[in-house]
Formats: sequence, C-alpha cells, structure tokens
Amino acid sequence: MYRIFLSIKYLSSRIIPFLAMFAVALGVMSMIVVISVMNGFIVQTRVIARGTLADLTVTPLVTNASQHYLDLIRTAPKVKAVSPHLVRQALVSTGFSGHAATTHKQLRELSFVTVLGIDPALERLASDFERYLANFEEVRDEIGDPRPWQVDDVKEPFSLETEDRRRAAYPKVVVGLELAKRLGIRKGTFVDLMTYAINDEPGVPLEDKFSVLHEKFVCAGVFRSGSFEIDLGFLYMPLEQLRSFSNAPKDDISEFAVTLEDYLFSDQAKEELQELFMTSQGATAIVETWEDKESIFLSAVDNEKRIMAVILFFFLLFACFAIFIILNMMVREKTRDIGILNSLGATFGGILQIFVMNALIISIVGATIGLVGGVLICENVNAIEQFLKNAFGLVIFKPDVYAFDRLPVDMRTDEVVTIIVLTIGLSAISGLFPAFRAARLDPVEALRYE
Amino acid sequence: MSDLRPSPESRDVVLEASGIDKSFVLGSQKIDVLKQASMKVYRGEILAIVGSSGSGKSTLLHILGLLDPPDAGSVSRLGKDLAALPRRERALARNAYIGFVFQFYHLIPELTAVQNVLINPMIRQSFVTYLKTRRRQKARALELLDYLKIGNRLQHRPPQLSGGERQRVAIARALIGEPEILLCDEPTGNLDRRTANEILDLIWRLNAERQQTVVIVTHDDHVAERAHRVVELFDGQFRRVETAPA
Repeated sequence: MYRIFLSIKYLSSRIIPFLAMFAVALGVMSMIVVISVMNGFIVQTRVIARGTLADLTVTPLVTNASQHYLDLIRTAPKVKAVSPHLVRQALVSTGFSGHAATTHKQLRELSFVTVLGIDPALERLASDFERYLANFEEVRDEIGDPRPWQVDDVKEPFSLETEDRRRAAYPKVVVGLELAKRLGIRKGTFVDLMTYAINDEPGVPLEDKFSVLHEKFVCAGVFRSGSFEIDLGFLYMPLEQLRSFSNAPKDDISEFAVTLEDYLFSDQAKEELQELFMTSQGATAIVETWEDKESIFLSAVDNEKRIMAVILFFFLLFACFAIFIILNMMVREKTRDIGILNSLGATFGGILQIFVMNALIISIVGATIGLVGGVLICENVNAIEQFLKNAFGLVIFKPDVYAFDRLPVDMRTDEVVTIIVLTIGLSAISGLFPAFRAARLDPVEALRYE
Repeated sequence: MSDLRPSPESRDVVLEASGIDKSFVLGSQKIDVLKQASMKVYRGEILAIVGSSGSGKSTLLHILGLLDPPDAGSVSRLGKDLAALPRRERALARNAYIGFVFQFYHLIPELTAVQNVLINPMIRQSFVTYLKTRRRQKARALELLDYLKIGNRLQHRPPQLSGGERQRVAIARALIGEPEILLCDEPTGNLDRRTANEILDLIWRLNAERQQTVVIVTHDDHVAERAHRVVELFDGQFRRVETAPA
C-alpha cells in the first residue's frame, strides 16, 4: 500500500515529473500521428504505384499461344482468376475527326492514356474493375447524380442502350472519371482515339513500318478507382476491339493479370508459376508480383517510414532519459525518507517498487495522454490541416504534389500497441537503475544524510 | 568484556545483545566502536544508554533495531538471533517488534501528520488488507495522536509543525505498530528544555500506562536520572550499570 501511496505523493508534490509526463505524451503522440500518416501515405502510394496491376503479372514470351498460357496458369495452385490484357498507348480527345462539336479547346485537350483491352467476363473475376464502375458514392457532392456517368450494366460495361443509331453503331469504351471530367466526356459522348502500329515484317520499307491509326468510339460509362492517376490515365475497351483497332496480330496478348487466393503467399505463388513455365513446352514467361514491378518506389516509401520511426524513437528515448534523471534526482532528494522507511521495516523490494512505480506512473499517464492526443489528431487530421490553412495560411499538405486530395491516415492497432508497450517498457527500465540504487542504500547512512 | 551482570530477578528479557563487535573504516584507519558489548532489555523498563559523543550509542541502537548488522555477536529475541537473519527478514522483524524515534523526527515532508502515522501500518500490511482495515487504522492513528496531545494538528505537514509536535507525530508513528520496544535516539536533543520535558513526560506516561518498554540513547543527565536503569558506553563496552527499582 505504502508503495503506491508514496509514489503518488512524491510525484504530485513536484512539477518536474509532470514535465517528463508531458515529454512522454508528446513522444507517443507524435509517433502515433507520424506513423499513421506515413501508413496512409504508403497505402495511397501503393494504390497509385499498383495502378491496375494485378497480384501477379505474367508476360508471355511466346506469341500466338494465349489459350495455352491461360490453361497453364489456371492449373497453378493458389490462383483464383486470370484475365488476359492487351495493352496499348493512345492519345484521346473528343474531337479529332472534325465533326460539329469540335472546338479549339477540345483540340488542345489531348490526353495520353493507357488502353487496356479486356474480356469483361474474365476481368470482373480478376480485378476490382466491376467495383470501379459503380464507385461514385464518395464523390456524390461533386458530380451530383451519377446516372449520366454510370454504365447501364456493370456486368456488360461495353453496352449502351440508346435511341441514337449512330451512337449504337460505334464501338464502346469506358474511361476514368478524372479523364471524363477533363475532356467533358459523359455517357454517350463520342471519343476519338489515336494509336500506332509497327509492322516489322521483313521487306517492308521504312516509311511503311510505322503507321498511325485512329478511330471513333462512344463512351459507355465512367469508372472511378479513387486514385487520381488511374482515373486520369486508363481507358478500357473489349480485347478484340483493341486488337482490331491497333492492328495487333491475332492471339496477341500483352500480359495475363493473375489474382491469387491470398496475396500473403504471392512469392510462393510466383515461384510455383515460374516452375510451371520452366517445365512446360513452348510457354516461357516472366512472372512478377506487382511489387516487383514497383519495387524501388515502394521500398523508398517504406524506408521513409522507417527513418521517421527511428527519429521519433530517439525522442522517446529522450523522454525515458528524462525519467531516469528525474528519478535519480528524486532518490537523492529522498535519501532520508528511504532511511526512515527502512527503519519502519520497508523491504528492499518495497523501496525498489516505490521508484519503479514512479517511472511507471509517469510513463503510463504520459502514454495515455499521448495515445488519446494521437488518436484525436489522427481522426481529425484533415480538419486540423484545414484549420491551420485557414487561420494561419499554413500549408502543410499540398494535394497537387501527391496524387490524393486528403491527408491519408491509417492507424494500425498493432503499431499503436507496440509504441505504448515500448514506451512503458523503456520507462520501467530507465526507472529500474535509480530504484535499485535507492533500495540498496545503507539505512544508517541514509538516515544520517543531510 | 561486558560487565552487564545477568539480572538476579527472573524478569522477561525483551531483547538481548551479546558479544557485539562493530567497527568502521575511516580512511586507512579502522575504528572499533563496539567491542564485545553485551546488554539486556527487560520488559516494561526504561533503559537509558549514556556515553560521550562518538562512544557508539547510536550505532548500538541501530544494531538493536536491526538497521545495522553487527560484525560479530547476536541480537536475540526469545532466544532467536534476529541480527543473523537475511535483510528482508530483518526488515519484517523491525516492523513487527521495533519502533524508532529519532532526534531529527524524520517525518516524510509530503505527508500530513495522520498520513505519517499511517505509513507504518501501510508498510506492515498488504495492499488489500490495508484497504480493508483502513478505517480502523485511521481511528487508531487519531486516537494515538489525541493521546499524544496533537489531535488538533492532524492535517498539517511536518514543515508546519513545531519540533515538539513533530516528535509527537514520530512517536505516534512508532507506537501504532505496537512495538515491543521503543528505541529513542536522543529524542529531546533538538528541543528546548520545556518541550523536551513534555516529550519525556509523554514517554514516561506511555511506560506507566501502557507498560511500553523504552530504550533511550541520550547524553542528557535529566533523562538518565529519570530512567529505571542506566548503562554507560565507554570505549566500546558497558562500563557502569545503575539499577533503579522497576
């Protein structure tokens, strides 16, 4: 009883322990906030880095064998779905072809896009594409009624019910929301695409090797992934449509997007697939996880988080050092009390516990305040950012530098628990040495201490 | 050799020190403070230990109170050598049998008078036991403080109390543990004559009304005169014994 009683009395009669508490709280708070925001950044940058990349991408090295590849990939364990992609680069505009609606502005508004040719029936099993087609709830305030944007049927995205025969006759595409906003595209808008083809057959004269192709399409609807880059830079159309538009050889496939049962085992699945291609005849391929494709970028972001964590950890160490110093001071100041307690029959363990408890109280109270503060800041980080901007003109987050419009926060329980446990553990350890010194004091010497 | 003769009467011996050696090293010099000192404390007596400064009175008291282990010899209660016990057991025995009163009161400055008294049962009892009995403990503390005529200063902290008041609180702190033996180290050494007499009266009253066994280390002749028995420490041994009627 006397241990906790005296700990509290000793702490509450001084100001310095409160400063240490404050330091601990500040350390814990900044660690939680910074790590959570970094997590948010990592999640967002991963989304952007990933783009439309599937769990695994298989790039075939043999042409004209797409069915063979498909069958082979489907036999691999852990594979949930596979979707063939034909990928081309194109320029997009709403007015190449000189029809009535073309304006000077529209001509200038060219956009460079990646065109993905997909099989909708396979793609919906292998990616989030189907979800993207009805993902307008969060931007309701901005775009209002989503009906002018949305496809008629997410199961058949490249169909458009229309009275207009001319529109009905043209092939259909689906574009990203940001691109649609930039170019003024709605459901039913005519879209012009321009791409190129290379004819590398022997004997073709140089001036004929390269040809520009363009074609008119009708927008069947808009998708929204939530990532600015994807929604600006991607355009979908049926695979066979893209093949004929880009003069691609029959059976040519750029890549196979593979979805796994569980991404946790991606490295294992990758090895198994590589094994499969190695042992099979006539179907060699490169297998990459999407992280392989973006490995340098991702490790850079991850590394940033680690550096921040280390820097902030030093701040926590500083707080623990403050506890150490304060307890040392307190032991010196309380030397006579320690003698008194000895004379009253307090044991070694009892005196040790008084001072360890001091360290624990400082760290637990500090960590709790830091936890509450950190969680509150994390939950209101955008409101705080907005307030600082409005009140002091302080711009903390520049949305145009990053590809997302809000400060992303991803608070993870395991990391928060680690921070708290680490703080309390380290404080207990830094309290242990002065406490040990106190408990070991010779009671007679302590009583004589002036 | 100790010249403390065994008492001819068969009075209870509360504490017996025999053959105590204690020396300190000061620089390169070894100082023998106690040399084969032996003595007994009888139940219900007030024993004064006198001697010149540096004669080892306080050291002896610390050894009797199990604060300081002797280099040789034993401190026994009911035939059991307490000084030979491990540190933790000595602490528990100290809490159970012994109450200390010091010259400089040694109260804890952060605590009020009542809290300073209650710290003793807090040390003795476990967290749960104390919480269960805290009303009774507090009532006893108040009763004791009242008995020691300081019932009106309960919520004051030591710096707000006079020397005499502090010493009363210190005595209450020792007494609440119902010690078999009260060890007082110059309890009036820091007080004026009048206050000193009040404190001494209190101690004598405790002895008379509660049969409290008391050992007082002092160099004050007034104290020695009033004691039932006086022993003098000289050159590390007990030199003279005066036996007063108990």
